[in-house]
Amino acid sequence: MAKELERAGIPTVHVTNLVSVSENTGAKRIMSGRAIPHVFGDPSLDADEERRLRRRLVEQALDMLREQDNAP
Amino acid sequence: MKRIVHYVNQFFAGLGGEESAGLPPGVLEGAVGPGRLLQTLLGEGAGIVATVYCGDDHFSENEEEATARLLDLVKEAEPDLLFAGPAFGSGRYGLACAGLCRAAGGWPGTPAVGAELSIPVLTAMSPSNPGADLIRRDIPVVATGESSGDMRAVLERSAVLIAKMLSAEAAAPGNEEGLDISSTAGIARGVAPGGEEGLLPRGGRWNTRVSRRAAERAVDLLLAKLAGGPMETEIPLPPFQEIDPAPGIRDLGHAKVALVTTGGLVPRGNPDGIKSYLSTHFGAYHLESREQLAADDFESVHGGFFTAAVNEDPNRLIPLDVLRDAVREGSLGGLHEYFYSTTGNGTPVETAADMARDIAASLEEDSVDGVILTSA
Repeated sequence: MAKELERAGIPTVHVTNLVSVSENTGAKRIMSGRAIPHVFGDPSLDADEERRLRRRLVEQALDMLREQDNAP
Repeated sequence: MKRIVHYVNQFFAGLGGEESAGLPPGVLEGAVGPGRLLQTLLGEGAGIVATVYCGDDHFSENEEEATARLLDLVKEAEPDLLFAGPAFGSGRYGLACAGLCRAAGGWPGTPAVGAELSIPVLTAMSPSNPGADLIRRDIPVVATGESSGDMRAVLERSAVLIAKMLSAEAAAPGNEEGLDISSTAGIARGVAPGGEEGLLPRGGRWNTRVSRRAAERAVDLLLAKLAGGPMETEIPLPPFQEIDPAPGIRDLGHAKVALVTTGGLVPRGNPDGIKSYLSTHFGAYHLESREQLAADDFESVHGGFFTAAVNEDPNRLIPLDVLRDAVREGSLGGLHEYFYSTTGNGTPVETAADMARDIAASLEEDSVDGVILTSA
């Protein structure tokens, strides 16, 4: 899906913890999330810490949308 | 008696479902779960001496460490062969089978490049399992369907192959009858490159005699193609095309971002009937003026991961709460008013691509500048 969205001209960051799967399909912007069952959070943190973590992860994802060319 | 070690995930080890997917590697004595049937099929010549296991999430998140620990457990059992799976269509399980097999060996006498042990290994999974693409060139993989419904048939084929791989002749170079793959690059002499043995094609080339010359076959293929009839190429191309990345967003402060997930988040009650497995369609859900995605309103219907953390707080899958903060503070221009959701487990790549093209069309209509796509 990431690849088709990117092909349509919409930069797309794929946030997943199965990075190798995403790489194999040819996605261009791949970011590793916190964990498979909660990519944008962590139930082991308290609510404030978790929200700060989520904000950091979101900033990281947005940064990847700005990158102009991820080709090696 | 030849000694076999069997690898299974937490589910087939009988240690629990998705809630136990974080289990670290461990070992059980003898045959467990599907291993019991395999043991019966193998008869007396070979015995499953130990079953090693690991939770699917644990393996994917700690691959190096988990592989090293599992290898130690395999070594301790001093096996003549490692069998992993069958993983069917389960992606994380297939990746674990693939990772462990690649580290443990490969074809008899031809371990995979970089393998730490060099015992014969065999695994089983569906051709669409992401693990299959990682290893099919180096490791024999018994082809399966998507679900455990054909467990018995898969184990019957596996038992035959295990017996062949363990037989003394298998390791003897130049044997045209046995499972001789001692030639380079895993290309067999005397063994078909896949199909006939019930193995996934390895992508190697294999010499064979045919009655008609290449020019005739080529013309026939061309005519069949022109007539729109069925045709089967002799050289299938890899299914994935490379794409060029889209230009990045220049100014996030004025950009509109959309949220898409394959984690199956839907309004409670699943009004569009999004399937928990082998999904065929997606839902588009209005964010309205929500500041966050509340557990009372949304749930995940994904059937392939432990959804408790997401159901407790859906923002862990679709981070609406902090994106609203970013928009309020001005670091992001805005959010597309809908989020899009489907489940990604077992969904064929082509179906997912179709859904993404539909989603892209509505995003373009609304001048969306970028997408955050989340997957479990």
